[in-house]
Amino acid sequence: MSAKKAGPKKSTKTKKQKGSSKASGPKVLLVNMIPKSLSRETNQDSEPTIAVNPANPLQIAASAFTPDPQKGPMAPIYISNDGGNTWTLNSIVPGNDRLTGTGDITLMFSRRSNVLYAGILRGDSNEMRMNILRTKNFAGGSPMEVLVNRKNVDQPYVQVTTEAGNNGKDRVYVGNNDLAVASGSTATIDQSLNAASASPSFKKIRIESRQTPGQDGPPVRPSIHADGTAYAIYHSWRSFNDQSGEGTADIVVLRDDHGGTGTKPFTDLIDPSDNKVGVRAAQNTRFNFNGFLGLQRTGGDVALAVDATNSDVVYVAYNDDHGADYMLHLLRSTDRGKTWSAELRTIRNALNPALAINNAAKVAFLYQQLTGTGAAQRWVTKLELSANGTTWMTLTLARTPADTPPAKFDPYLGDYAHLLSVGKDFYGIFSANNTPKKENFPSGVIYQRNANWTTNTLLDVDNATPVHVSIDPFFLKVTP
Amino acid sequence: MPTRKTAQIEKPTFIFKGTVKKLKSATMKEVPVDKNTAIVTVDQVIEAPADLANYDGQDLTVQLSGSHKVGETLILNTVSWLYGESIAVRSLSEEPIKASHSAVLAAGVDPAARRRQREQREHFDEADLVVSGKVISVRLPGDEQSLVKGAVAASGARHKPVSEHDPKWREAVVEVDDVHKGDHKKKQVVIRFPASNDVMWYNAPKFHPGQQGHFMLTRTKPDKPTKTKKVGQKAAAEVAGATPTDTYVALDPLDFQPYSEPGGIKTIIDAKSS
Repeated sequence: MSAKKAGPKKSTKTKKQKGSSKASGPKVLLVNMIPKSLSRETNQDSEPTIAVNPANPLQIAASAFTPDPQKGPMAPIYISNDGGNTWTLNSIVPGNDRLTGTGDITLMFSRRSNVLYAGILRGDSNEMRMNILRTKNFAGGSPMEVLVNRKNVDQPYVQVTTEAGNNGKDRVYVGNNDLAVASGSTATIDQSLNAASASPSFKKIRIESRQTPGQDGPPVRPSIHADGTAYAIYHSWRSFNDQSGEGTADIVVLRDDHGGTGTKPFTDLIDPSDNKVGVRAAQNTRFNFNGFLGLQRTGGDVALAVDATNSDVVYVAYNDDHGADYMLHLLRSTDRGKTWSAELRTIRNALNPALAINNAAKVAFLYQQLTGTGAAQRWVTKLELSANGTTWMTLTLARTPADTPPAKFDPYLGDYAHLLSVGKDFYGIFSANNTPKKENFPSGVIYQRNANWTTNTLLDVDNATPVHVSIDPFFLKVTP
Repeated sequence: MPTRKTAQIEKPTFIFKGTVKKLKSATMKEVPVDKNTAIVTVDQVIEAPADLANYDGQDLTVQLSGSHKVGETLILNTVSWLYGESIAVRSLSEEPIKASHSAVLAAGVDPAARRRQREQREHFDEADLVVSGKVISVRLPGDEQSLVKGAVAASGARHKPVSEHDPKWREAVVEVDDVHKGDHKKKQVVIRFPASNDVMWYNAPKFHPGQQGHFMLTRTKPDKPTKTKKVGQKAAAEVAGATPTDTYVALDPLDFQPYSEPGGIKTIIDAKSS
């Protein structure tokens, strides 16, 4: 038997709302993204990202550490043309590793031109080779075009905005940790102000203004408002111990009121206490580059979202390692990053924060929290919603075993998950244990791959042969 | 830059015997249909990665490279395209069934095992050195030992940046029993391998003292990196900057096969020596 739907009964009978939770309150669509034709797969499909085409939200692209099913030269992205209800793999990303697919990858659509951009580390390279890619047809068969190709770069994180007007140019920002920089100011944004042009040029913006112990941390996350305001957050290392992996970092926020178009991009925020570029939203947070929370490695996460209705309002999330506890913090600024609130949320043993703010100024906060002990330990993926940053409503999306399957590699779930908004809707993605068990997905879920929900068993393409549990990507859409 | 324009160098990755069921049609709505798009019934999977080895009897979509008729039974040499409710593949070539295909169509051969054998053969052919022997020690490479270790404040003085993708290089010293390919006169060979379990490195063999078996190795050339991409193996030259002269690397799971494991490299070596 292949029971495709689990969880609460749907609120309406329309196909589009299958898997939705509860008639009142937010409408939730959660979909296991592994296609039916790949029901046999047991990959560790971790570290997912997602992009929704603002010009046509039915078009969605996503990624994970998913190899090409035929072990060919191109890694796949997940594509949906029906708003995330169904998913197909399309192998168009250069540099597939036959066993793990691409390396680090993030995706983002242009606001208007339908062009999909990607920042990747090539899977077929051992030298952390970053490519910035684009395609005008994300569902087509042609490989993505390589715009930038250089080595010793970590965690490329792509964001895109499009200038106002009918001929508005695509501005692409790729946050990355450029370890080729000898000065130690490794936090970098590769920026193109016309990325859809025939041969776009990218400029490297070094955003670190303070002295580091030789480098910054991996996450550098730009976030661009439609009015042109560009923010970025990064893990600005203050100290690091090679042997223990422990260090301290400031959580630094940058802003550029003109989208980085001036001669000194991303320098509009000055920290009043040291007069350096970038306000330290938090100082001397601790991290452990060799640390683990359950089977997931840690190292210091950051996330930032700017209010779609008001670019003065910004939320940030970051981790602070207290040894026994891995704390996740949420802060807000209402004055364009100059000053920061007290803690809005503090979550114990949680990571992979992702933030988005919709066109009604509602905030969504996605994270994965490790709860319980021993065999009862679970990864709990939650989405919190708030209209004011004070009162929060929590949706539990997944509550899955934390110790199965065993880790094949690091990262187990990913060094990041992802969330964004288009209009009023929130779209997200996370990776989790894929056991087909109703209790594991309290908000409901739809599986494309074959599964028996009575015996809680995954099934092969023959819909009969059992398949081992693995880590899968899950698509999320929440309409508040 | 990789491109699909060079179809002549593409190798088939999913080979099966199939019968054309319907032309100008597809099993998936995502497929753009033209005159060469066909629904094909898989009669027998011949060679495939494990995830696709169980498709006997199922219909899938094939973008044929030439014109065929409904009812024709063919050997289809295909590559990846789309995977959704069904599968769509692109055919590089189609062959009519001939008597010469009887061997590949013989029953009882696991398509995934056949694929693995082909990969091992290609891997053997591309290796610079193939030896059998025993790992007698594992050590930190000299250049890793010499790095400044310990706490570093914000001084900008660190020697080597770190990332979650750090390979954590180790060197295995192998006492050589026999050389099966390549030229190696010394009693020992040093193999550099990544100890990291990061996604970039976890597939590489992790050696420990006492391991015995066959080693398929790629030579690193520090001053003259090779850009050749090995089939199923990351370019060894990319680690050359950190390796001493005449060091070999093992980066692919196929690079090591224990004596206890039948077939694979042993079969290839036996065939070459007979």
